[in-house]
Amino acid sequence: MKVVVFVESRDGQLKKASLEALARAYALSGNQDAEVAAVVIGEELSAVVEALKQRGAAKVYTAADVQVKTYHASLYAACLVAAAEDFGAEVVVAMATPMGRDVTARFAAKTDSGLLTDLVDFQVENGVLVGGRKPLYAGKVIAKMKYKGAGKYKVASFRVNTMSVPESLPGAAETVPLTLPQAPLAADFACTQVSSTGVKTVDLSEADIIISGGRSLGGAEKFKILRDCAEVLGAAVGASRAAVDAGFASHDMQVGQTGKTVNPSLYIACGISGAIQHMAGMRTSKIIVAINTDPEAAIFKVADYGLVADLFEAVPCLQAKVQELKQG
Amino acid sequence: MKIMVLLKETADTEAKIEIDPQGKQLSFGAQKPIVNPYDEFAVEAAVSLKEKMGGDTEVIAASYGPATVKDRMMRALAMGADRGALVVAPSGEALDGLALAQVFAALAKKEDVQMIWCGKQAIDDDNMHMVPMLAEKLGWGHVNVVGAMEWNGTDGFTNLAREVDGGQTEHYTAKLPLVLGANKSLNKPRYAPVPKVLQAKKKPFAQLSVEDLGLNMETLLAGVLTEVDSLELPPAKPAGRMVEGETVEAMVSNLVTLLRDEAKVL
Ligand SMILES: Cc1cc2nc3c(=O)[nH]c(=O)nc-3n(C[C@H](O)[C@H](O)[C@H](O)COP(=O)(O)OP(=O)(O)OC[C@H]3O[C@@H](n4cnc5c(N)ncnc54)[C@H](O)[C@@H]3O)c2cc1C
Repeated sequence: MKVVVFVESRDGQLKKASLEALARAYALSGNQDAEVAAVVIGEELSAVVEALKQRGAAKVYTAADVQVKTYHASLYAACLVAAAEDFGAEVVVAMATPMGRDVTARFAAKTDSGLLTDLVDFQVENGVLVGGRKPLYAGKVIAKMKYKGAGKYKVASFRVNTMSVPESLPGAAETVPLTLPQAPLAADFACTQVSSTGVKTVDLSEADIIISGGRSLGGAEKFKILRDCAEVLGAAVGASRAAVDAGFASHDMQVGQTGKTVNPSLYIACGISGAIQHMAGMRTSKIIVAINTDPEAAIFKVADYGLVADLFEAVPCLQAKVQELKQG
Repeated sequence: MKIMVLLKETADTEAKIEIDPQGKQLSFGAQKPIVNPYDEFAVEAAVSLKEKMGGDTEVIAASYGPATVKDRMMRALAMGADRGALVVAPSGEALDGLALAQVFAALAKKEDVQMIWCGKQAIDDDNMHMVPMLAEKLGWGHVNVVGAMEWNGTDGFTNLAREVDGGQTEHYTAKLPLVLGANKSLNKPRYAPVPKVLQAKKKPFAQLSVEDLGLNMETLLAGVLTEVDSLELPPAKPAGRMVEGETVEAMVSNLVTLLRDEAKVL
C-alpha cells in the first residue's frame, strides 16, 4: 500500500512527532520502505532530510521553493496533493497535531477523500486500509471508524504517543524536489509572524512526562516549583482549568476537555481534584501519579500511584529524589 | 455584511454515556444536549464584530440536524444573532464532516455571507474538520483556533492569532471572505438576560431542506466517506495504589522507586 506521510519541521528542525508519523506510514505499507514517501515543506530542509534517513521512507518530497516561510494551509495541502499524485499514493497520513489536523482536513476536502482524525490504531484488510479506532467524547467512548464510498485517498491523522517509534527503520530518504502547480496565492492572506511565549516549553501533546498543577497552587509564581521539578524530569508543565481561569497558567497549558488532550508515559497531577473534564484530557496517560491532600479526591480513582501529601512539600522532594537518581 | 455562525448540538459534558448492546447507538441519560461550548465563543466573536461594524451587518446562526436543534440555537439568538437557519436532517442519515461542509458551503453561497465563524472543534468527535473543509469547499482562506483578533475596520483582520503547540502563536493578516474557528481564549461569551431570551423566540427562524440549497440527499450521502462502525467503552483502569510512608520524604522516595522499577517510566 503506497503511503504519503506529512512531516513537520519547525525552524529547520524535524518535529519529534513526525518520526511517529513515519513509523505509522511504514507499518501501514506492510513494512515496505519503497512504498513510503515523506513530504516536507520549508526553506531550510537539509537537517530535516538528514533526520529522515533510516526512518521508514525511501523517498522524501521536498518543497523548498514555496512562496511562504510560514504555515499556509491551502499551499501545504497543494504540496500534499502534488506528492500524493506523483507517488500514486492510496493513503495519506499525518500526526494529529495542530498543523497535521489542519492540513489533512484541507487536503481531504480538496481531493474529496475520506478523513479519519486522531486515530490510535489502524485496521488493514487484504492490503487495504479499512479504518481505525479513535476516542470520542474526550475518551469516554472508543469508536471503530471505517472508510466508505469512493474517496480519492484514504487520509488519516494519528494521535501522538500511541505507538513506540523504533530507533531505526529501512529507508534511504532520497530527495525528490516537488514541482508545484503554480497556483497564485491570495495576496491578502498570510501568516506574517510566529510568536512564542518566550518560555521554551516542551509541547504538551508531545511530552513524555507532564507535571500539572491546579487551583491549589494559589498563584502564577508558585508554578515555579512545578517548572523546576519539570526541568529535572525533562517534563512539560500542564494545568487544570481552575488554575488557568485564575490566571496562574496560560491557556495553552490547560489539560482537559476544553484544553489539550495529552498522552504521556507519566502524568503527575499536583493539587488537582480530578474533575471529569480534567480527566478527559489525561486519562489515557500510561502512568498517572496524584499528589493531593484530600484522600477522597476523585483523581485517586484514576491514579496508578497516589500520595496523600501537601504538594508544596512533595514536589520539591520529588525534584531532589529524581536529581539524585539521575546523578546515579 | 453577513456573518454566519455554525452551531453544533453536542451531549452535555456531565452526561453519563451508555452504549446499546449492539455497539451502534449512544445514549446520554436524562441530561439535555448543549451547544458545543466552543461555538459560544464563535457566536460572541460574530456578535461583537457586528457591534463594531454597525450598519446593516447581520449575524445568521446556522446548524444542521433534527428540528429539535432549534431549541439549542436560541442561545445564539439571545446573545445577539439576528436570525436562525436550520438545515433539517432527514432522520437516520448521518453525514460526515466533508458532506456537512458541502451543506454549509451551499448555505453560505445562498445567503451570500462573507465571514463564517465556528467553534475550533466540537467536543463530541474532537475532529477540527469543519473550518478547513468548509474553507476549501468555498475556496476561501481559513484560520482555526483563533485566540485573538483585530478587525481592520473595513474588510479584514490585521491580526488573527492562531494558537498552536509549544507556546507558539501564528499571526495572520487576512481579508474576507474567511472561515474562522474560535478558541476559548478569544472572548467571554456574554450572559443573555431574560428579556433577550424572550426576544430570541421572536426572531426570524428558517427551517430549510438540503433541496432548498440546491443539493440532493442522495448525492450528499454518496459523498459520505467515513462512518462509525461500532462503539465501545474504554477498558476500565485497574485500581491504583496509595504510596505510603512515615514522612512525605519517605513517600516520595517510595514513589520514585516504584516509577523506576515497577512502572519503568523514569
Ligand atoms: C464545559 C466545561 C469544560 C471544562 N474543561 C476543563 C478542562 O479542559 N480542564 C480542566 O482541568 N477543567 C475543566 N473544567 C473544570 C473542571 O470541572 C474543574 O472545575 C477543574 O478541573 C478543577 O480544577 P482543580 O482540580 O485545579 O481545582 P479544584 O477542584 O478546586 O481542586 C483543588 C484540589 O487541590 C487539592 N489541594 C489543595 N491544597 C493542596 C495542597 N497544598 N497540596 C495538594 N493538594 C492540595 C484539593 O484537595 C483539591 O482536590 C471544565 C468545566 C466545564 C463545565
